[in-house]
Amino acid sequence: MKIIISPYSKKLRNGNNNPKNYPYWEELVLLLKNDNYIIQIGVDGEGFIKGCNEYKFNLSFKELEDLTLSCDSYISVDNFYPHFCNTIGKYGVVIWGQSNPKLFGYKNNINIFKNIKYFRDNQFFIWEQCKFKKDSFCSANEIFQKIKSL
Amino acid sequence: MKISIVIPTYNHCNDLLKPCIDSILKYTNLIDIEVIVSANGCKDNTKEYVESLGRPFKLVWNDNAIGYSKAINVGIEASSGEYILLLNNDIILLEQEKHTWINLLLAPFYENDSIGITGPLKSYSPHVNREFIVFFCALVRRELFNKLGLLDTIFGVGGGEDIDFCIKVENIGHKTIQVPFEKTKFAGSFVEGSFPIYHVGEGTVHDKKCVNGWSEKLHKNFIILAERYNPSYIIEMNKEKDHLMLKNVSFDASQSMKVTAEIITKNRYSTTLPLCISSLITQTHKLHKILIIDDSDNKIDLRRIPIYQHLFFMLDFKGIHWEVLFPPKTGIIECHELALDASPTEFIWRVDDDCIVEPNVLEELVSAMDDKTGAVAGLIINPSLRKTNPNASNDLYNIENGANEQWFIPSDMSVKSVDHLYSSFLYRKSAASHGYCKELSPVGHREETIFSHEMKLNGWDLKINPKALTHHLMNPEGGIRSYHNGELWGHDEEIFKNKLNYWKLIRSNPDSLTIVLDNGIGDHFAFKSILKDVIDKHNHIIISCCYPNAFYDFQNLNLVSICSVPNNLREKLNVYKFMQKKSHPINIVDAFRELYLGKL
Repeated sequence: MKIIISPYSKKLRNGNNNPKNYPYWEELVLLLKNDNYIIQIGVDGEGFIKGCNEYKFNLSFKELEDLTLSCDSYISVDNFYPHFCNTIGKYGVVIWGQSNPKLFGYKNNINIFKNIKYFRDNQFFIWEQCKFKKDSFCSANEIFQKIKSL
Repeated sequence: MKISIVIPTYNHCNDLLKPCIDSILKYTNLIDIEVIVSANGCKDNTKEYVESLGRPFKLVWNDNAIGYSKAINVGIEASSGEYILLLNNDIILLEQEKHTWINLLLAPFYENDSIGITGPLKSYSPHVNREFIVFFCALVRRELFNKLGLLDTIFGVGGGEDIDFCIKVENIGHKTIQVPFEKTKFAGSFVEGSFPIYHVGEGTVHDKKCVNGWSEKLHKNFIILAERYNPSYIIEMNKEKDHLMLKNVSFDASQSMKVTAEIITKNRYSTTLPLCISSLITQTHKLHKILIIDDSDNKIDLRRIPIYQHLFFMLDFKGIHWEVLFPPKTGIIECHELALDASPTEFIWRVDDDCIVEPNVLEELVSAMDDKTGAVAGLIINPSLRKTNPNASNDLYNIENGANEQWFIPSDMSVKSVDHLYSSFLYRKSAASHGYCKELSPVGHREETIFSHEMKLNGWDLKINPKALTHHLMNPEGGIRSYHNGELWGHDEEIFKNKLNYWKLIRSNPDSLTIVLDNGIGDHFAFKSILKDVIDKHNHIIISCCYPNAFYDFQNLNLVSICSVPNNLREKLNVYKFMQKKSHPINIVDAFRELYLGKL
């Protein structure tokens, strides 16, 4: 399968790691890459996830649309990409940490979160006010097993 | 017990009292000293905090806010010191060898039996024409309270009781002296001296949450003092009042409208500002208050400058309240917002600090104000450029012609409705709920055009009354817009053009629907999920957004910058705020659907 990954949410103004960023991408890509062709998308300044087959940065929305439609699926954190994909009718896997997919996600996607106890009390606080919590996310293996079981 | 330190406090435990106590602990040898915190009306953690301190700290508690004098008095009654050290909760002792401040205050008492009060600041009161020790920090011989009684509680919430007590002390032959003996210096709005203390200055009473109408209360106290100790001040004031009553007799009907004048000033202390204030004092429609918002680079205490002393006396004589405020941030927008917030009246009159207004201007502006009118302006004319211009227009869409009707003497002197106003005008607070345009730079280029036109968009009339003539001196020195960075004007012009674009769209189709996307790019795409339905339902839509390129695949959309939209509309249509108001969790796409399609 040809899978797009969108691993990062936008940079925070205070320089802190965005609490929406999934911390185990390299492990997940390692698990996925045997059976899949992985393309990382992003913009300048975001890190490269080791092990991807291709990196496509700074695409225009039209280019991104064409690329997305040419792939089988995507895996993303809670960033603009799942919203973008929804407008072009593409569904995929979204990895959630502290934000609530009921508020910001789409039912047609596979929304994976560890536990609702990690959701922020106030889902509308700006992210600069929120601490990054590694343990709010599922492990790479848990994500991989869930994707495999679908 | 040698010394009892008495600290009155009213809320502000964490931000004022704690730093104050910490500094006492750090710089004071507390042997033979007790500290009495006289807490009144505190709703915060003051009680727990003071009780946790243990000896030699003592809490005197009163459930209600009883005012400064009473709070001090109950503190003194609970004390046992030979000397009473009155100390405000908004001071911090500065770096010093331990106990220096106490030694400085005490030393004169050892040298001279006639010393009654010492303190780091002696100030002058024009109302009593006397100097006095300011009681934010003052050491008082206890026997004086026994002889003279405690502080006079007639001064209510506070202000003036120190002047009163110092005069009483001096009248029985004791001296009040500043320590150290050097003269203090005035540096901008600060008083500098070598006594190791920092005083925030009315940190509690100037907090509107704690004390309402502080300036008015202080003014009343000054009148009490003048009646007691300086009757000539009252005689002069009454003479002036009688004169005023005669002069104003024909304008009784309009006098019911209370107006606050706001003058925003910067670096014009010794040029046009005093002329401007002077012309406000002589208005035939008496002002309720003058607010001077001072954004000068090097701020000065105007009360120390003779010309302003005269002006302030005149304001007092006329019964016009006055206040000088220093904005926490610089720039015209912040200053206007401060005026909007600080004005005690519904009607506010903006006056530039290089304007001289004719005596009838406010009267004329008031006469043109009715229930449907948000703001009224007069003519604002440079005395050296008195011209007519038949093409002058305050139609917004002629704004680029550069000929504002307020700048020229018209052939028809009747009141007329317009699209926007320039510079100085009278407006009502309730028409200004949209506030000033926060996106503008500190120079606030076009701020009054945006501010006034948004009133119009909210349904209020804007008017010009040409009979109200203001002379605009166009002083090249100073002024609130005196910034050297030319890019700021360009930045503001860009924002203005965005607004103009939006307003033109609104005017071309009054039934158009404005979409507000005041959020991240992902949310723009979330909105796009329902965009086709919105287009189907509404004939004309305007999308004000942060990321117009999110609509790369739609043609002929009216896309405008989010800065174009009035603040109140941005607030009302903010999707996150809409989601938060819901009693149950709602998905963002559903929230957009409910906002713009009215259904789920």
